[in-house]
Amino acid sequence: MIKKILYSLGALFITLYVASGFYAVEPEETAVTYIFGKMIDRNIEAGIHWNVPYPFGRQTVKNTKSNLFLSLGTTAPSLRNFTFSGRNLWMTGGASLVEIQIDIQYTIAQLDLYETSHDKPEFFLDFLAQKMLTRSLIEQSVDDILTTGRQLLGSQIQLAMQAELDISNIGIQIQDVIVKSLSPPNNDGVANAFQTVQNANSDRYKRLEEAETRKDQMLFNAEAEANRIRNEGLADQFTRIEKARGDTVRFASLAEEWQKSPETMERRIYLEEMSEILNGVKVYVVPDKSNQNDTVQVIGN
Amino acid sequence: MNKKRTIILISVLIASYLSTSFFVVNEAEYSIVTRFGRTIAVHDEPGLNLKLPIPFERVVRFDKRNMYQIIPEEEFLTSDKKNIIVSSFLTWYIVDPEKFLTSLRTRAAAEARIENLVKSLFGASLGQKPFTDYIPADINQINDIQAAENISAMEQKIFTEASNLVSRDYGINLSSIGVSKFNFPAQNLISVYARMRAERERIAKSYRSEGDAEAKKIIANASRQSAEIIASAEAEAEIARGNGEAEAARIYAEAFKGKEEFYEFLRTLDVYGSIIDMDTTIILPEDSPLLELLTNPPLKNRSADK
Repeated sequence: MIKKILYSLGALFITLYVASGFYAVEPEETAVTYIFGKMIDRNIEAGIHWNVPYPFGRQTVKNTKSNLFLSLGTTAPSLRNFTFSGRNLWMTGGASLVEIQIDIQYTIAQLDLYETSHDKPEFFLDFLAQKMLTRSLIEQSVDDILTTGRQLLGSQIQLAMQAELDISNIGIQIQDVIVKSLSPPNNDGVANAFQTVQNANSDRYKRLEEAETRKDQMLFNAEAEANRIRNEGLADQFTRIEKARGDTVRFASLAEEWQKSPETMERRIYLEEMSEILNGVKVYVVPDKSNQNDTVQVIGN
Repeated sequence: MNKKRTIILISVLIASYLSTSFFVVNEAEYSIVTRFGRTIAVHDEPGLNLKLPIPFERVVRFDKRNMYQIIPEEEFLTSDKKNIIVSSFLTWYIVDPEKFLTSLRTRAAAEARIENLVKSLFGASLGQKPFTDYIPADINQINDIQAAENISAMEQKIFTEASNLVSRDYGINLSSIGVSKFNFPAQNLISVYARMRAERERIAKSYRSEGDAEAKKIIANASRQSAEIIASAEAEAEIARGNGEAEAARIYAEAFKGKEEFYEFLRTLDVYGSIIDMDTTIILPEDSPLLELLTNPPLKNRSADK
């Protein structure tokens, strides 16, 4: 009786032990299996699988399909004698400093390499990113980095990192390097000084725009004035010609009369004109030289 | 019954004792079998292996993978006596586990040696070149583009020298090295910030004066253009007036042809009209033709004629 119970317990134990070798791999995961420490299967895709249970076999299941995140400078253990608190401060060309935060998105491309090449692949990744960031930053001026360099920085770091990762056979694929924040250091009023430059720059554009507006106004006024002058000239031209025409018409009618009897005409006109000309004019008549002592007679008023 | 139990118990004990002669070599791991401290065998193929049971033979395991190591920040002097703080990292792996076991035994011991070695190599390398070789002062000069190359060259030099030493003495190979970060010493930061502020102020000032100068240029340009526009309009107007004059002259000339005498007569009268006004005083001689009738009444004149 006892024997029977022992046997059935033994059988149950063996069944349970064998069943404990089943494990699941989710769709985003990959697994590698070991038996007696030796890697047996290097790439197990999603599904239910069986491996020899502990202590003879084991398996590592890891997320390999979706992106993993790493914040630059925060993954690896912090340095023992860190000299100042600005952990995100980095040197740039011209020996200036910028504050920068970078995120790295990566996937494990080959789990077997990832498992067997480095003791802490994430630390290595972090340090590589720091190395590439340092290099990229010191070759650019702080202005370039803060303006145009921002887009470039991520791709530069990504390219340089991937090249080294491929050499180190670590089985990691960088998906993206994202510059999360990038600013001048906030210490000692440096950020304010950068703001001043920005203000000065926008002031400059404002001044230029004002000047352009004034220029447009000036040119508009000049055109209007020019138009007036041109029209005046044309009006004068017209007036002059019309006057000439009028004059000649008047002259022609007089001349017609004149041609008939020039003397009479001339006399008539002379007298008419003289009455008009001498109207209101003081006229003195001086007597002949023979009788100079005569008093001067005043004609008219 | 009692005897049977004792036998089972003893055999289980013996079996478990003998099981200590099995050992597993893991993937990416060296297993060294030592007999009373002396190395008997080095296994680097993963799998199940046999040895003599404890206490005759023991297994020492070492990681075969690349191991990371941080070289903490250290202040160095460049050749132009400037301070720079460098933090770096490296990865290394054990290539000769037997030598590693006899010379160092533990990873901590290895790290201590490597750290000292690398720091002294960094000190020597950095001391040979000026600060600006690594951190360019003026980014607009062409030779500054070599900063990253200079760093790579320094890393390569340290890597080679350190590799030679550690592989010969400790059975270690370096696999990578890199400067992870440069820093200013804390006491220099204030002056760095002051310099950055001064630089910004200079740029701001230059933006302002540039804006002034450009605005003035635009205005000057505009006034020149408006002057040109007005001048050319004036020229056009003068030309129009001239044309008017010419046309008028032509019209007059045509009308007066053959009647120049009469025109002269009329014109002379016109001139009199325009030069004589209310303030003019005219002194006429007695025998002026104008006064002919005044002195010689037409009656007398007519009778005299007849």
